[in-house]
Amino acid sequence: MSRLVRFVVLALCLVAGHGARSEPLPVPSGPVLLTVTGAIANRNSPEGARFDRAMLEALGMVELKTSTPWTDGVPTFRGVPMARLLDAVGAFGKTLHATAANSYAIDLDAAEMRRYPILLALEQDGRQLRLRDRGPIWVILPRDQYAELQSKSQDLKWIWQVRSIEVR
Amino acid sequence: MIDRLRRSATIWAIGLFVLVLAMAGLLVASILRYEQLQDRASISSPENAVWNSAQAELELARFLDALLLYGSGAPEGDAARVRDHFELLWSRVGLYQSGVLATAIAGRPDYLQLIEELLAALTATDAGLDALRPGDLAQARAVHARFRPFLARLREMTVQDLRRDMERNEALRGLHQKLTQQVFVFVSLFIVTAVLVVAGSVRSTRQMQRLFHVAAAARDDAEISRAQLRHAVTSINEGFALYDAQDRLVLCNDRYRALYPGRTDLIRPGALLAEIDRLAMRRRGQPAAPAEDRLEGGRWVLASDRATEDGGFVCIRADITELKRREYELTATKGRLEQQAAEMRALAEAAQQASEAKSRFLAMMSHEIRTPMNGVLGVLGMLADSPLEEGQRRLVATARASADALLAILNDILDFSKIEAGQLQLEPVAFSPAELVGGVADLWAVPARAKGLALEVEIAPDAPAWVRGDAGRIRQMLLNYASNAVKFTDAGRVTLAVGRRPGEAASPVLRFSVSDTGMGIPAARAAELFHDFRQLDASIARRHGGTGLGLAITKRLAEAMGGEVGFTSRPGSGSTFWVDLPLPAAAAPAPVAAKVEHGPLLTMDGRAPAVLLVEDNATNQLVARAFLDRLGCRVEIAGNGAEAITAVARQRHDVILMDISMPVMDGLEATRRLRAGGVAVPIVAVTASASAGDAERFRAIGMDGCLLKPISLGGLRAALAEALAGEPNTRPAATAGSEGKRMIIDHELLNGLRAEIGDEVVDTLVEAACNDLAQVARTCQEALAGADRPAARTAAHALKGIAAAIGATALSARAAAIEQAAKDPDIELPAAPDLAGLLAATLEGLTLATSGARAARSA
Repeated sequence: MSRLVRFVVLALCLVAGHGARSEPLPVPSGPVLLTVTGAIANRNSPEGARFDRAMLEALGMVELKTSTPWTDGVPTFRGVPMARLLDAVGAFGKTLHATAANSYAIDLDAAEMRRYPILLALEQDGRQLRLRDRGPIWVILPRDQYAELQSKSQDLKWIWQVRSIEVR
Repeated sequence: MIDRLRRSATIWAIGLFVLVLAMAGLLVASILRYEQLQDRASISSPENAVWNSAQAELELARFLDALLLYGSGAPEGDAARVRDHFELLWSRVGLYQSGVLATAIAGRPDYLQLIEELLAALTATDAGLDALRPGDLAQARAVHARFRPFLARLREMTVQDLRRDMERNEALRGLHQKLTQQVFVFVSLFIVTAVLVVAGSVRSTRQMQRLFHVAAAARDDAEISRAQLRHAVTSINEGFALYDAQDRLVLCNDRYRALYPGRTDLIRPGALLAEIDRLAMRRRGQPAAPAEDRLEGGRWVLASDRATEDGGFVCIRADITELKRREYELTATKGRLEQQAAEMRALAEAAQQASEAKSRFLAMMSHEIRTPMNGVLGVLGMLADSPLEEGQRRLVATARASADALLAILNDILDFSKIEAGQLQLEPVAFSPAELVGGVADLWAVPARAKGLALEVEIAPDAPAWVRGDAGRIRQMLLNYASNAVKFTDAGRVTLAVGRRPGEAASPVLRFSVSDTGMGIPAARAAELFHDFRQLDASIARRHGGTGLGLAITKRLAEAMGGEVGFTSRPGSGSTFWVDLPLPAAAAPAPVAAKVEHGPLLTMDGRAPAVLLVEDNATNQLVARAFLDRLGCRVEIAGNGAEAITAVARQRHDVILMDISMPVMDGLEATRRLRAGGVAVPIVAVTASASAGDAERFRAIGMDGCLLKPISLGGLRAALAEALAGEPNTRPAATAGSEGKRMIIDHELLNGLRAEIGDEVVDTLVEAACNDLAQVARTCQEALAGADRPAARTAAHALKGIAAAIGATALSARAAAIEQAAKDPDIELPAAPDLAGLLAATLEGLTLATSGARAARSA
């Protein structure tokens, strides 16, 4: 009996998860801020999943307070958790090849990105990040919360002005 | 060897340790240096800044390109691109405003100036940038011109930074070189050390190997020893444990573990003694003495604990539970056995006492029965002597025969009881064995002839003429044998013989034997023959009579004389019973004058002697009176000692026959009182059981002779003759006649009365008696004065009785004398002027005695 109940619950969870994942991405109505390509399940364009600000905000914004090597004090960032974005597109690759507006690019480890509450920040101290402020999307690592994220090599992962992510 | 090895190893270890320390020091120094280097590099070289200025220059160039392209109106021109590049440039410049870059250029005025100007240009351009129209080259040139100088200045900054970077790198290289040198030295040192170590190792390898070999051998030896020790420890029967100086268990065997069943898990190397064995812990440090411990499981161990030389502690535990149990059982068993033994002893004693009591009872009963038997026999004898008709005579003869048989049985029982009770007394005399045997034969001649048997006597030639022994008892034994022989033999002969024991001509042991030609004794019965209360056949006992005690008594008597009994028999052809006795030869005794059995009547000063017979038993009284009558005596009879005293006080006697055991007051007590009261009349004890000791005792209290019951006429005559012939003057007390010497008051009698009937009664009695005495004495005196014989006699008699009753001995005697005188008209009446004085003295004495007794009571 209890085994049956457990099975049913598990099945429902799977269906729910699949449903969430298979929910079709809306088409961006505003300027596209981010394009996710490559190994993803959900797309809203031939090249991949394209997000405008509204779509990103709809994924759910969270706050993160941390210092950075490039700012003074401890700013408060708001944005979309990386894991949530990856879930939204149904990413199934191991590596995230992120490219910035200035053509700077870096390979990020997908598992690591999911392991920490890493943020695709859209706002800093209540203001939208502009291109000149290293926006509109800046990858923020919870540096103050995790000591292992404070080394110099970790600083390279703080890619700003992100335009696209290719899941590999 | 091991020590040397250890020393060299220690030296090597110290050397290596020092080297390692040195190298570690060098390493630490190098690292510190490197750290310094790193610090200096990070402080002095903002490579980000270099990179950033180069990037900024690149972004600026891209912006300017895009701007000019847009301004020229070329199709690739794009306002968004211009804006993008503008923004990217701004973001790049903005990096200098905060964070690490701001810190990096903080001390660089030229840099700060440049950045400030760039930001100002960016801010100035920002608003108008979106107003820029495609193809508006002029406007584009204007903006271009504003930013173009910054290209060179940024390049200058980059170059400057690169130069500084190179200089810094140069310094770093120097430092690196230094470090390399240090590392070289370090490595060299290490190599040298290693070479030294290896060289040393190689040099000492052989020695080391040898030493190791020796060490290994030693270790093997030690291992073997330890194994042997372990084996020994494991296999010994005792529990064994070794503790070190800190009381931690080093090793122990399974037996030791087994002793502490609850703590087996606890008992392992390293465990503390206090946790395992508290008893042993208590003994720790005390001189070792084996102790018996009772463990928690109830087991007992013998604990031998010893301190070892190194301060350790060895425990050896022998399990003695079984031993303890046996010890306990032994103790318990021993206790039980002792208890049983004690009980057995008590039982045996009780049985012995019961047996003796029974014997005494039997002896007493025999007496008691024998006494009336004597009476019967005496009366029958007297009857036989009187004129009778023929028929009566036969009846009397039959009665006498039956009474004789009964008396014989009683005598047997009495004898046996006496022997049993250990009261047998032998009385050795010189006698002739031949005469004794002949006498026995004479006794049985008539009965034997009546049965048609020949009775023969055989005196061996070697038989001694005279020997010393208890002839009476020997005669008893032979009579016994002869009696049986005659009884159980129906035809043939009975032979009585005496001689030396066969084959022992020189021996003092004589054999008396009685042979018959009777039915013989079956061999199977032989063993029981001499046992107590045995007869071969109950029917025989009925037919022939007898107690069956005869042979048993014979055997006991023979044994008492140091001899033995036995018999030989062939069933059908007869038996021979014998008794062997050690009888020393004796000289022939002087010829004895034949005793007068029936002499003339006894006289006392020509008159009939007055005999006071004190005897409680009526039969005995009858028999004795009959004998005394025949002897011509006057007899007065008293039922007991008290009556005797009264009788003595009342009347004068020539002799007193005093039975010893009587109710109220026995003969001994009466004698004592009479003697104490000054009565000097000869007293002859009459007793059924007088031993030599008894006779002594009787004599000691003042008796003059002893007559054994049953009384025989001859014995009585002899005793009386002796007593009457005795010298009264030799007696310690005064003669009967000298009243003046009598005691005024017999205190002993008074005290006896007090003990018998109580003080109050006696006091009352004395008081009453005193009144009576005074009155009667006066009457008596008046009668005497008036020469009135009957009145005087009556008064004197009363006076005598009253006075005697309360122990007024002198007064009583005086009254008796007066009475006696008054009775006999031939005697002149005494004037008795002293009667009043004697009365006064008596009354005074009685008063004194009474008050003295009262004082004693209240004291």
